[in-house]
Amino acid sequence: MEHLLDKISHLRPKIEKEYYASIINRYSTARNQNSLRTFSHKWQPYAWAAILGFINDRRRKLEGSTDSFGEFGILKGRDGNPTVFKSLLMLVIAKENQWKEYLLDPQAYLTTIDEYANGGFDWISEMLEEKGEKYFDEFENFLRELENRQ
Amino acid sequence: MIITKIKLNNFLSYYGEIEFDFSKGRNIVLAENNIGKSNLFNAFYWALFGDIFDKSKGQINVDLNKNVALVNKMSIEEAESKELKEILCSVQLNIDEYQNDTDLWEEIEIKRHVDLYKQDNEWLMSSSYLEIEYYLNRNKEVFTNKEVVLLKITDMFPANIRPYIWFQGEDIDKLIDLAKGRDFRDAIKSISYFPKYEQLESNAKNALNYVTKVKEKKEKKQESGNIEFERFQRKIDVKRKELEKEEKRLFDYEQRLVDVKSVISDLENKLDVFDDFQEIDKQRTQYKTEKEKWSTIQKEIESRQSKLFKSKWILKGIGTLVKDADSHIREYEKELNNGAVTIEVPDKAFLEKCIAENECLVCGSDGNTILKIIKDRLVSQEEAFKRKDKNQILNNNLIRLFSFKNEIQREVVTISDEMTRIDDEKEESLKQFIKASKLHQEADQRINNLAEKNGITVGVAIKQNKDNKAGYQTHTRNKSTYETTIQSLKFNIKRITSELEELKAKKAKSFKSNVSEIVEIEIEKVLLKMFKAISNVKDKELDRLLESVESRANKQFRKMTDHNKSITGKITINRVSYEIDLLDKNDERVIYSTGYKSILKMCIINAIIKLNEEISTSYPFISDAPTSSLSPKHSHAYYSSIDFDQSIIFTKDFDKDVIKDLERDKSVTKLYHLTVEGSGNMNDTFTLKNTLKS
Repeated sequence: MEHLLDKISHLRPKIEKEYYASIINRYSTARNQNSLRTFSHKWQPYAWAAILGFINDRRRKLEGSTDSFGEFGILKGRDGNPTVFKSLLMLVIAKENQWKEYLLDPQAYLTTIDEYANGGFDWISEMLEEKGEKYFDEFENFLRELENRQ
Repeated sequence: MIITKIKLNNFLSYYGEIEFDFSKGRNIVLAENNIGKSNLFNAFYWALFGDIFDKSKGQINVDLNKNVALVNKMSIEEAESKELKEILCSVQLNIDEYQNDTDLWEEIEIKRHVDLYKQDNEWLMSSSYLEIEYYLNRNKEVFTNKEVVLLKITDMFPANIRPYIWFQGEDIDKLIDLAKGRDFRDAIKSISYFPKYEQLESNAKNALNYVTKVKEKKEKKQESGNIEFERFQRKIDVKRKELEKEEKRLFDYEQRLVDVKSVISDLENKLDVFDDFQEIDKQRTQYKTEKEKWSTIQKEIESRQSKLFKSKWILKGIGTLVKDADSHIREYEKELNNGAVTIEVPDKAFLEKCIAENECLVCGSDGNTILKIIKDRLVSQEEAFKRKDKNQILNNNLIRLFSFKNEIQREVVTISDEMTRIDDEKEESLKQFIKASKLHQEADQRINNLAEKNGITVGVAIKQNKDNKAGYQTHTRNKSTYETTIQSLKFNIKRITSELEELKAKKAKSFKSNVSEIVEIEIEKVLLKMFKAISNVKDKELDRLLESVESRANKQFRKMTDHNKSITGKITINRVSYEIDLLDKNDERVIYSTGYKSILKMCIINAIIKLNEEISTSYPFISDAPTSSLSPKHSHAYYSSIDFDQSIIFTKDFDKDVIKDLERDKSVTKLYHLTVEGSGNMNDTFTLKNTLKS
C-alpha cells in the first residue's frame, strides 16, 4: 500500500498564476551577476512563501487559474531539500485541525500547504508594496526578514 | 600701517553690505571650509590690485576675466525678482599710517567697485573703478586717475614684498625652498632692508672706479714721454683687463655654481620624493591586495549565506510549530493505541464453517438460533479488520512523521547561531575591506599629490627616477668642477691683484713730474678707505641680519614645537650657500616631517618681515589659512607666536576651548566667526559675520 508521503510526492502544488509570474519566476531566475542572491529552483520561493504563511499565520484559498513547478516530490529529490519537505508536512500538523483525516487524503494535505504558501505570497506582496518593488532584489533584505522572525 | 576697516557690498559670498573692523595686533577670522574665508581674503586683494586668487588658476585679474562670478548670486536673484537693471559690487578699505619721521598722520580710503547691468536679458559686468580718498593730517585729497591711484597703492605695498606679507596657505611652499640658498637671498632682497647696504657698497665702488679713471687720465697726461711710466701703465692696463676677465669668469662660475646647486637640490628633493613615492606605492599595492582579499572573502561569505539561506535558514522560526506538531502526533498516537482494534475469536473461516453446517460448532446450538448471531459477528469482524488496516496506515504515517521532528529540530536550533556567526564574519570582513579601501584611497591620493607636486608621471616614475639619478651624478660632477674652477679663479685673482698692486707701486716710483697736484690721488685713497669700510659694514650687517633672523626664527620655532621634545634642532643659515637647515648640537642635520618644514618656513619668513618692521614701515600681514597643513595644536601655537604690528589671519574653526582662549588673549584684538545662512545652494546662501571680540 502506498504511503501518504509517497502519494503526496506525486501531486503537483498549485500557485496562483499571478504569483507564479511575480514571485516564483522573479526570485528563482538568475537575472544578473548577483544571481547567487536569488533562488536557484522554482520550488524554493514556494517553500519560502509557505513557511512565511505558516509562521505569520497567513492562509488563503487559491483563486482563479493556477500554475505549478512540478511534483511536490521535487522538494526531496536530487535538487531539493528533504528537511524543507518534511518541515512543510510537520507544519500542516501544527496548524490544521483536520490533519488526522488528511493523513489518508494527500490532496487535502497538499492543498493546505498550497493555501499557506498563497498566504505567504500575499505577505511578500504586501512587503513589496510597503518597501518598494525591488526590496527583495537585495539579498540583505531576505536576511533582514529572517532576523525579524520570532 | 594699519588696516582699520573693510566694507564689502555684494562681493562673492557676502550679500548686501557687511563691515569688518580691524586694529593693531592679531585679528583672527574663524570659519569652516567653504564658508567665506578665502572670499574675504580676496576682497583685500581685489580692492588693492584687482586680482582674486583661485585655487586652481592662481591669481586672476577680474577686469581681464569678466566671466569671474564676482557679484553675489543672491543679490542677482533679488534684482531679478525686483526687476532691477543694475547691481553694485564694491570693496572699501580704510588704512591708517603714521609717519614717524615727518610726524604726519595719513588716512587712506581705497574703494574699488564694479557695476553689474542688464543688457538684452543678460547680466554684464563693467570694468572696475578705483578711487582713493587721502587725508593728510585731516586734509582731504581725492584721487580717481587710475594710474595715480595704482602708483599710490604700489608705493604703499611694493610688489616685491606682497607675496611674503599676503599669501594663501597653499602658496607657502612656493614662497621659499629652504634647500635653495637663492630663495632665501631673494627673500632677503625683497623684504629686508639689506639691499640698501648692497646699494651703498655698489655706489662707493662706482665712485672709486670713476675717480681712479680720472686720476689715471691726469697721470698719463702729466707723465707723457715718461717711457718707464708708460711701460708700467701698459702693464697695469693689461693686468687690469686680465683681472676683469678673471673676475667675470669668477662671477660666471659662481652663478653656474648657484644654478647647479639649485638643480642638485631639486634633484635631491625628487630623489627623496621618489623614495617616498616608492614606499607609498608599495603600501598602495599592499592595500590594494588587502582590499581585494577582503572583497573575495566578502563574496565567499555572501555565497555561503545564500546557500545556507536557501537550504536551511528559510526554516528559521518554525521551531515552536514543529513542537506543536510533535505533541499533536504524540496525542494522536496515544489515541490510536487506546482505541486498538481487537479481533474476536473464532475467526472468519470457523464462523463461515458454522453457517455452512447450520450449527454452532463450539456449543452445538442449531443453526436457527445461532445463525443471526454468527452473521452479525462476521460483519463486525470485517469492520474491525478494516479499522485495523486504517490504523496500521495511520500508525505507519505517524511513525515516519514523528521521525522528522528530531531532524528538523537539529537543523532549526542552529540557524540563529549560524546566522550571527556568519554575520559577525561578514561585518569583520566589511570592516577590514573598508579599512583597506580607505588606506588604499589615501595612498592613491598621496601618490597623486606627490606626483603632481613633483612632476612625477605615475606610469613612468621608475624611468624618471633613473634619469634623475643620472642627472644628479652629472650635476654633482659639474658642481665639483665649478668649485675647483672657482678656487683656482680666486687664487688667480688674488695673484693678479697682488701683481697689480706691485705694478702700481712701481708706477708711482716712476713718476718724474710732481703728481701731488693731482687731487684725485688723495680722493682715491679716501674713497678706497670708504669703500672698504662700507664693505665691512655691509658684511657685518649681513651677519647681524642672519643672526637676527636665526634668533627670531628659532624663538618662534621653539614656541611652536614646545610640545614635541623630540624636535631639538636649531635653525641655522649657511653663511656661504644661504641654505637653511635644522642642525643638532653636533651640526648634524635633524630629520623632521613635512609639517615641521612648513613651520620652519613660516618662522623664517616671519623673522625677516619682523626685522623689516623694526627699521622701516610695517605692513599688515594677511594670510588665508596659513596653517591648513598643520594640526590644530600647531595652528594655535603659530597664531600665538605671531607678533607683527598688525596681522589679519583667516583660519579654520577651532574647538570651543581654543576660541575661549583666543577671546581671553589680550594680543588678539578682533575675533570674528563666519557662518552661512541658506540651503547651501549658491543662489540663496550667503556668509554671515559673528563678532566674538571687538
